[in-house]
Amino acid sequence: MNKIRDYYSTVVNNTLIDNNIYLIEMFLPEFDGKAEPGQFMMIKIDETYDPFLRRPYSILECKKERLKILVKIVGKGSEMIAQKKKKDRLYVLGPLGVGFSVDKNSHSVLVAGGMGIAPLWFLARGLMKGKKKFSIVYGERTASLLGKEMDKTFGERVFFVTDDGSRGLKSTASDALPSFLDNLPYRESTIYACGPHGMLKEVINFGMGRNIPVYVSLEERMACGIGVCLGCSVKRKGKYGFLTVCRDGPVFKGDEVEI
Amino acid sequence: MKIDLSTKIGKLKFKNPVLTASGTFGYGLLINEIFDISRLGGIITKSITIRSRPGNPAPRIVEAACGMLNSIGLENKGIENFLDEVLPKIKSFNTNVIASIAGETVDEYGRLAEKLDRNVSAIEVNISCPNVKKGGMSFGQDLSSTKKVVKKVRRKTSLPVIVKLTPNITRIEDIAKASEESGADAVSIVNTYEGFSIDIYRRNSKLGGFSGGLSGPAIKPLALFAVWKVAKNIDVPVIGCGGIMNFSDAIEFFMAGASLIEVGSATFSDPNASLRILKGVKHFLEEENIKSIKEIVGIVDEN
Repeated sequence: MNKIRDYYSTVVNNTLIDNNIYLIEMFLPEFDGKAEPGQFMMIKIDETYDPFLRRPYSILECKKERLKILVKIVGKGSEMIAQKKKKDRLYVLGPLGVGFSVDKNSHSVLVAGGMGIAPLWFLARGLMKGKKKFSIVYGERTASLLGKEMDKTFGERVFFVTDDGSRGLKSTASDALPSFLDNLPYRESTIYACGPHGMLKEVINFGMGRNIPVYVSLEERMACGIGVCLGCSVKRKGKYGFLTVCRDGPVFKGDEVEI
Repeated sequence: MKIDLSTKIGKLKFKNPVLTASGTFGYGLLINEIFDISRLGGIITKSITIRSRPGNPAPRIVEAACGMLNSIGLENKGIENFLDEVLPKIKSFNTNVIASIAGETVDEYGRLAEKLDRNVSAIEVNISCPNVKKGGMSFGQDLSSTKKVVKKVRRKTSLPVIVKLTPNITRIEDIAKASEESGADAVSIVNTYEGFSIDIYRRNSKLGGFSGGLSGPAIKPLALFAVWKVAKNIDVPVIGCGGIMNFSDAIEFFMAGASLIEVGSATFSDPNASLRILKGVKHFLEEENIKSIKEIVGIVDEN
């Protein structure tokens, strides 16, 4: 595992890419750029105590001394991060957690709901670089600019699903998944999913029913992000006790956690 | 100038007065990957119980203005796991390892102390956890229960005994005095303040465990005053704790009467907080031409 460090970073770019969604690029001095898709960073918003805690963000992309994250305004903390301008400073702790481990012998199917695309975007870029075949099922409420961005980047690998039918199939990602898989010309698939709780639950159940391996990336409220506060626990499936989303995850095997 | 940061609890020596609060530092292993924790005066472990405890349902953390509420519920794998799996890994830290213990009964506190005797540097008796149904804070809110627990632990170990007190009581100084009279070598002040937060749309608590404990800068003036009240009433050292975020907060606690301090939830917003605070304290003493930390302990009093 890479050494965890707190980088005193500088905002290089902050672009509004959709209603309430910002793409922030940062300069992280001395960051070697090594991270697994699915890993995250804990971002300290400023030097004041309100908000008190850092905010976890999935790594969207990273390379030497550079990091990109996707920020959707959902509350005070994300709003403050979204308002950061070029040259503003942020403390960025990471990379943290356990990311996706890709099964090279099966076809990767990435299932994303809305902002759940962030860690899967990173995974998809890696698969693309490694010239691996993969598919993305991307579900959202309505056709967004983020979806358009995905179309530009991943082209026909993306199967679009919207609640209102404004782009692609009128359905949800989890409802569309079974027939999508049936139409794939591959014998073995592995599912990597991130998105709303309900979607993940359905995807896990589907995968277990069909004996298809499922990996999910979970979200939970976190205080420390490094495994010491035990605040972000998730119940183990069929076993006693909890796992921590920040240290044992955020990526888990679908049959490992009770969500 | 050589600064003397050393201090003592009973016979136990501390190279400096900066400790980490129970429940905010795990067992030190994870943070030791970020900095060398042997530089600290000591670490206090997550509270250990007789049996393994899964902890409380999620959400366990809710942010508050300048602080946070937690309802973890003493999640830990129990004393046997600590002795077999954890202790061998943390024994080699070149600093004091203080084991925090939490029992559901007086007898359990005694059994925990007995099992830890000679295995760690000291014991911190947690009679102040607000997030468990049995034991926890209920001991620390009652004079006679406090005495029973502390006496029991005292009889079962020759290690220094520290008692961590709850501020959720009218007169914390009375509980501190009772702890001292029952054989405590120090008291830690304070554990979290009971509180909660409501989701107005769901019409329910935001915490899975309903209520929780408030920590962070939000409680600092309250904790600081509790330390001041207690320190002038007892002779054993006071360990100050509650919202310490930087060196000046720490210095305030020393001046109010704390001989040592615990850095708690500051570690969550900055994993290097305890080390940063230690360096800041040392720098302050140098700048102010103070040769020993002991010179400023309890220096502030009413005119």
